Amino acid sequence: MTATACFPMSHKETGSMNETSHAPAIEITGMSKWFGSFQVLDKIDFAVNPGERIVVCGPSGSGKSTMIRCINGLETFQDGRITVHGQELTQKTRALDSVRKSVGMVFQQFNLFPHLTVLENCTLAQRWVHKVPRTVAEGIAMEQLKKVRIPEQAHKYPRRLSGGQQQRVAIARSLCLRPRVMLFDEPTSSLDPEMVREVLETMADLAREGMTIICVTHEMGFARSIADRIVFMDQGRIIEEAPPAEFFDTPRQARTQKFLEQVVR
Amino acid sequence: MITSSLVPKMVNFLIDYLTSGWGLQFLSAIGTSLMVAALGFISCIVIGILCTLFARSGFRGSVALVNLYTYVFRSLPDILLLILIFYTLDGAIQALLNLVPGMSDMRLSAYVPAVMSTSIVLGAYATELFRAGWADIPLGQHEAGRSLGFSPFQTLVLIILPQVYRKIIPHLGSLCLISMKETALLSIIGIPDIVRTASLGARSTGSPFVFYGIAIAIFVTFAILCSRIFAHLERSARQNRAGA
Repeated sequence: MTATACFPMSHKETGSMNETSHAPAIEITGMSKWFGSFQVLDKIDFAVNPGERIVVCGPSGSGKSTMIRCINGLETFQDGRITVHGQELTQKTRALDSVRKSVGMVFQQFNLFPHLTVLENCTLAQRWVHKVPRTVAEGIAMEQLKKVRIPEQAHKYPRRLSGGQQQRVAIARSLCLRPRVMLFDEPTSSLDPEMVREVLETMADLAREGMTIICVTHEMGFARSIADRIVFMDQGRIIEEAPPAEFFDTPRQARTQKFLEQVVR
Repeated sequence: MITSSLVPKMVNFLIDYLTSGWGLQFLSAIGTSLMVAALGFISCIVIGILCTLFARSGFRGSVALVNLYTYVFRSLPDILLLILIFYTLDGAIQALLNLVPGMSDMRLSAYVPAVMSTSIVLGAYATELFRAGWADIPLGQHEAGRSLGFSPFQTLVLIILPQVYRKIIPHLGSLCLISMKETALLSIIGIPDIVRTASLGARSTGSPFVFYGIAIAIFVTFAILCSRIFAHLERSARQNRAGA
């Protein structure tokens, strides 16, 4: 919330110009999900165009994390369909593998592998999943670590890094696989306040490069300056979808207004 | 002065001892015990990993079944299981073979029940060990593996097991020691292990202190080596975790 002024975004100019395809990067239609008898997602319809930056917000328990976890198959859903770059997501291994190759994910708890160095964290999937030779993989990893501004930490173990640094490594680890879409699940929620900014800046860099981003976050300042569209969810439904200016200044739904009153002070 | 005269005497004694035949017998006994201990240790780890995977698989009844296994085989005296397998396995195999016409008789080596009983008993302990270590690994590690495109097997081998291993190394050291000690039981089914060789030597030469002393020395040496190795493994794993 404090970071509103920190991201001098020029996305209005760079926008989605580098994308040639007009097919949506991600398309969700009529997706519903239940945990037992409790419905967490209720007929979600939602599409993301290539190069678009979406921020998903809403009160806790509104299903926003569950929704983005469905997009790379970490959660199953019972009804509806998801297509990622035209490929329908099923629980079949081949479909999942192909979707996960194009979708990167960053978690709230970083989930770095503690038994591997930063560099090894970044090369493991390249080497074993994408069969990239070690030296090439290390080159790519160093390139991405430079991009998130911590190449000097490459040979340390995650434990020795601050939360913000760990999260940046997690972003670099995902980027090493050259994803076409990045999913962020509350990437700054478990960080100390002074670490939040460095992670948001890294994400803003990505946004500037035209990466398709879906981010669940409570950082409204970040949402305002980065997002092309903000999606507000409550009780498993998408309540409102609007560009940031419209979303913050003239929210249409009463529930959105109430949420914004609580969040934006 | 005392030591200088003692050393050649001891060397002479050892040379006499080795040439009199018992040295070679002890060497082969050490080989036998080490082999059974190593096979038992390796297979108990495999059993531990497989049972843990099965218990976590979500199949109906899998947890209850694994619990039953660990309860039963941790409460049974090892010797009971060894004798049970020794006397029934051979007969069972013969009976099965007799069902197939034209099959000739096949005698089972006594080593099979020996390794089996050690593995089954230690496997129960190893299962408990792996389950506890596994429970410590956050769910996020599995999810990170999956989201980076690793197959379940790759996630297991590259991400989960190395972390479980680091958590349980000290306990693996004890398990390794116990698997060596378990080999003492082999003497009761006639396998010439360290204890059996020592007792044969003691009875035929009438000097129990020497022979049982040698057996003790072998076990203690193994324990020292074993704890050294595992202390080293633990140190390198901790360095790994703390980072440089």
